[in-house]
Amino acid sequence: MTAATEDLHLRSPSRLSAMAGAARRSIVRLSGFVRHHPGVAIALVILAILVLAALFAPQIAPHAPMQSYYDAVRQAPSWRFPFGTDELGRDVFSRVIYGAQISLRVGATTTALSLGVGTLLALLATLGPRPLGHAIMRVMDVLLAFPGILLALAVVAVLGRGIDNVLIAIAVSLVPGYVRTVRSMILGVSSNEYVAAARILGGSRIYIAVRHILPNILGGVVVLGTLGIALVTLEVAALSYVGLGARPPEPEWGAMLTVAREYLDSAWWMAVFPGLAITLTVLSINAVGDWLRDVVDPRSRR
Amino acid sequence: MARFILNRLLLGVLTLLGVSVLVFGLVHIVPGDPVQIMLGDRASADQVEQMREQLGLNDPLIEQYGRFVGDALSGDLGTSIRTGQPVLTELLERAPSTLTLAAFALVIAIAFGVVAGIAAAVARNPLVRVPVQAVILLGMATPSFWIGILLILFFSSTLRWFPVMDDGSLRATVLPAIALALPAGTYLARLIRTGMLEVLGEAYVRTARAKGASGRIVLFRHALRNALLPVVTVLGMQFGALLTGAAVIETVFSRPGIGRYAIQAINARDFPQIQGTVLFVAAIFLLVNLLVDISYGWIDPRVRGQAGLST
Repeated sequence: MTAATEDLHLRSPSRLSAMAGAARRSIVRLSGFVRHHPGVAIALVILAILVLAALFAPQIAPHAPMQSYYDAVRQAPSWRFPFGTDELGRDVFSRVIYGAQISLRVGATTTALSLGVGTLLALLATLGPRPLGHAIMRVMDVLLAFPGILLALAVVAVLGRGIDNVLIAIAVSLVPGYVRTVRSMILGVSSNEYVAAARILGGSRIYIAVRHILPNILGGVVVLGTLGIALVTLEVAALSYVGLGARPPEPEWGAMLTVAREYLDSAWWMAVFPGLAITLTVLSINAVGDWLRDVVDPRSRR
Repeated sequence: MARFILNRLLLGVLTLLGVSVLVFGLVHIVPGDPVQIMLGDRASADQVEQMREQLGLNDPLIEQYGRFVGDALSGDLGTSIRTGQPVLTELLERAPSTLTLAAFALVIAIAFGVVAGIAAAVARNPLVRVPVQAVILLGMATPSFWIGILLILFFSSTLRWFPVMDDGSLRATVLPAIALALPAGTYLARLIRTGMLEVLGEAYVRTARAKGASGRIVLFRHALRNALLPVVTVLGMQFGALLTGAAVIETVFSRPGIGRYAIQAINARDFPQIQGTVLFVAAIFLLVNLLVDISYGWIDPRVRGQAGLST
């Protein structure tokens, strides 16, 4: 990138050829990346397609997600309906595309929310007053005593069902784990000499947190966040499947599978394609997350 | 060792107390009037007031909490609004189904985890290693309820090998157990793979090899035993994940277990059922983890010294 911008500023008459050289170099670099990480490259392409599909769903989807074609109820995949139609004659392909919108929005929001709160609490627990730190960690210990999605279920019970409540519920249920993980990352960074040096030089706790600790745990937090989106996508789909999150007729992948379960004998495509969309999304995010982890922390390379 | 057990026991009781505060608080942080929500919009003000009195919601909070804990300790988890049955009775009726499913799934998960984990770590033949690694990656990314649906599609609807609906037989437990075991199994496989790769680089493995031990003895006696240690610690967590994962899988397979009961309770907003179930499952989870901790302290003496608090 820097090479390219420098090339642009060259005053030589062959600016065009310089640009071509820069382009060639970035293509070489790109092909090197593809050769060394073919899986990650494929995953990034899939994710790019998903994000584009979510952003431009109205332009890309051949049909409206709620449009029923009563002459084409539960039709097998065809040119007109690539993923077939559902029990009300709606295009499954279009609904899967609109589903990407819901899943990516909820996945990103939930992860950002839980990781943000988790990081903040972890900072408070490590750098705040000692009794506060103890109190935070005790509460987290109690919350961690709820296995799996039980805490999320309890929060949905309080808030009532609905996709936004599921979003909050899953965010709450993820916070304790994030506090614990980010806290140990902070403790790891804090043992470095430059933190001790900053402390000796009279740096305030907030200064040290912002200037020395946050930048050094950022990589780890980004990795946690990436893998978190994958986890959240799976949990949102599961909670929607059991009827607590998005509900039919919303084109959410989990909710689509709820309906599909009833027509398993006659319309396999209703059950196959939304599930495939979930798996492909999570698989791609996981691949990128694993790769990021290797980049951030080369020791963890498996 | 006795000191270690006592320590863990005390910690477990304290945590359970914290859990009970949270579960008790559930009803009190509900936006709006929980009684109105439970009875529906058609309930008259008289009915609501009567229910409030009946549930003791007009008493001071401390008193209510004391009664909640006292009742729970004497085996009374409240009475369901929908069915009028004691919640504990309803839970105990459904517990065997869920525990059978979870135990079945745990066995499958461990078997899969050990075999796939070792294969992914030591198989030289790419024809073995690559498919195993692909299955592990896919397993982490596939929702277990979708696997359940696909299993029904192939083995019940099409091949008719297994019943579509639960009929209480062990045969009907096979497919849901496989679906439920998937996330835990792939997680264990990854853990064992990393553990094996780490342990195989250790000096004592090299020593054993140098002394002429066969590949199989090195693999199983020296490497696997040590690679399995971290697995024991996560077993308790994984069992908890299986218990709650059952909520979704039981819905897919229409099994009358605790998980599906919880989902139905939340959908109906039957708060005594919800509170009772959450407390019940959390208590089982804590008990299992207590047993895991104790057995781990017994297997690995180094653990006994640590108090186990994350301070």
